[in-house]
Amino acid sequence: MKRLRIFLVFVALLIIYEPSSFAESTLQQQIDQTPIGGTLIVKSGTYEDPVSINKPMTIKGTENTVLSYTGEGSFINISGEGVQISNIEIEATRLPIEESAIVLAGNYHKLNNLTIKSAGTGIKLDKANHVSVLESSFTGTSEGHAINLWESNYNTFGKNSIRNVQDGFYVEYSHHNTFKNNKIWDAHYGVHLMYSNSCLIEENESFNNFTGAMIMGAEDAMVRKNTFTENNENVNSQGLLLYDSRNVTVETNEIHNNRIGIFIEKANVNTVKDNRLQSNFVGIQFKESENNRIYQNDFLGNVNDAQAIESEGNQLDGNYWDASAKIDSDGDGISNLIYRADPYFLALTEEVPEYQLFFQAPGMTILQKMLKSTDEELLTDSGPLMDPIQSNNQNNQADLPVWIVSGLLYIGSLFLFIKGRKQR
Amino acid sequence: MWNIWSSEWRMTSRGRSYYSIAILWIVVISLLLALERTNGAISGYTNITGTVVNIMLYILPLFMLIFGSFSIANEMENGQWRLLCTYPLDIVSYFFGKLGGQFTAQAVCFSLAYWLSMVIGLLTGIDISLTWMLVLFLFSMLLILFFLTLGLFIGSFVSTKWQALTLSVAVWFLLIMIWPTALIAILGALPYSMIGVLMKIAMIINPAEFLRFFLVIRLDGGSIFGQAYDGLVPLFNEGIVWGVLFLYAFVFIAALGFIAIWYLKRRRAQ
Repeated sequence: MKRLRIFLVFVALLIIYEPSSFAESTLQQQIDQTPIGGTLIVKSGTYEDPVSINKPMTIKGTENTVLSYTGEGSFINISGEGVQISNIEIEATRLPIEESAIVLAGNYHKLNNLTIKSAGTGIKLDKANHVSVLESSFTGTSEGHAINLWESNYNTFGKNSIRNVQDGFYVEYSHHNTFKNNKIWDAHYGVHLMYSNSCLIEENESFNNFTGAMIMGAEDAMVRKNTFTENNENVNSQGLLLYDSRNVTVETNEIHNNRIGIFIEKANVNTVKDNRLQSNFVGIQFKESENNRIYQNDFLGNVNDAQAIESEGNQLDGNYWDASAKIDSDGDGISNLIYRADPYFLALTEEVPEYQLFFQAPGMTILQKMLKSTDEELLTDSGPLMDPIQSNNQNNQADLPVWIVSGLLYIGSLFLFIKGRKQR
Repeated sequence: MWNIWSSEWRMTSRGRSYYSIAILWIVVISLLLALERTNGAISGYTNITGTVVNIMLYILPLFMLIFGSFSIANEMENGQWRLLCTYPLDIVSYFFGKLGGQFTAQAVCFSLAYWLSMVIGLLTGIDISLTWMLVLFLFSMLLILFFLTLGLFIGSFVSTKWQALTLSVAVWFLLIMIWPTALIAILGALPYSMIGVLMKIAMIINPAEFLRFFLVIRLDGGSIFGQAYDGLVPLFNEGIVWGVLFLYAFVFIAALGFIAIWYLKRRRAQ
């Protein structure tokens, strides 16, 4: 009898302890139990409750660790300093648009190798500084941002790939941030700076977005060595948009196949140099912008090279325009003829986009004479270059198949030529 | 048909003008290549490629219209047509034999000049991509074919070479020179919603525009036509393009041939 009683008490104790031993395995418990500066290895699982981390520690996943989050508030909240998270896949598919999978505050956090699928924002930095997010991938539902910065400075974002989100990077009132080597596609804006100064946007690829990068109300930004291509998904698409920004330097970018290559609106004193603008509908367009300097860029095969609306004092010189007539009598590499970018074709297609079919049609020369724009509408380059700055192809030797094919076809046609004359 | 084919080929090849045409093509194409040279490597669609294509579009159709229409008008004028009418000759083989013979002669002459220029270009160190070469070559060949057909069509309706020349130049002026201006003038008077459809129909009716559309897309310049043509561009970008081209050529030649043959038959009966 006594034994039975002891046994029952033992069983009862087990039952009472059961919930707490289950709670021990929750993520928050595991985090709480990890000492300061310690490392927590997490396993895959489904989590309903958000967690918060406020001490320096490292969280790592093993291979294929997936944290499925079914809650509706933000999942991981990080504050304090020195939190490191790596090798984890986070799925937060029930998140509302205004919430974020990860919210960061504080300083010196490092996020590496994360795969985030979020219905809301991927990572939000709220007054966080010196944070780095590297080699991570973000997939959204076109509604939340991949990474959202609010009053956060000196952060670095590199080698991330981002797709199907609202904005790749939405940056507001955040200064001195670096965006390098990221790849962004199927987004609304690739990089979206708002009132954020001295940011560096370097070596990113932004394509198939509404707009490759938008820089609004920002000063002293540097945009270099990026490729902005195929940003033409919308009637207001552009490769790069500078809006109400000053002292922005745009250099050595590849800007191809966009609706507008570079659009400068209400923005003054910016520099655009050494870029290659190719096959855009409009290469560069100014609207209500003054005193910008555009030099040493290549303009190749754009439907319209350049246009200015209500803009004065923009200086274009020393660019290469493949559409211009060029004569160089003194051999200095600069054409003697001033290039005037005539927006007649833009005027023609503005009301009826279907007329774009006439681009470079043989009969357009007649039409061009009839549609001649007035002098005020023309943008002029006083010293257009004779040769493009960046060569198409460094290898100047044709391949063997080219030789073989052209040689064979030449011999073939020569044979037929003679045969035609000699036949009876 | 093969008799007329080879006799047409022979006659054209032995004509005095054949050499001068060959030289003309060599000069034109070499100069165009020299022009392209400033652009470094020649591969995709650039403004200079546009210029090359435009010059081809100016001269090739005009010459082909004149050759085609003269080929029949000449026989009308010098009495050979009446002689032919006394034989039990099938007009269908007459028309297509002439088209085949003329096309062979003109295509051979052009490709000789074209590939000679390419070889010279390569020898002088211009880097030309194979795609560029082949697309432009195919473009020229089809231009020759379509405008010879149109020329023969014109020739079937005229009785003197003067008429043939006048009509050829008129057609060339309409299809090449004044095309955009004329279309814009006409479409401007119509409701806005019809413009999109009519532009596409007009592009299909005019073989020069159709081929230019084909060429620009094949040289990766499809996006310059803008969103209005987003539906058509993929059709020319993928493997199905060859089917589209073949179908287009078949319908174009069959339609013009049918009318021309019908009219020639009526003339023979008179």
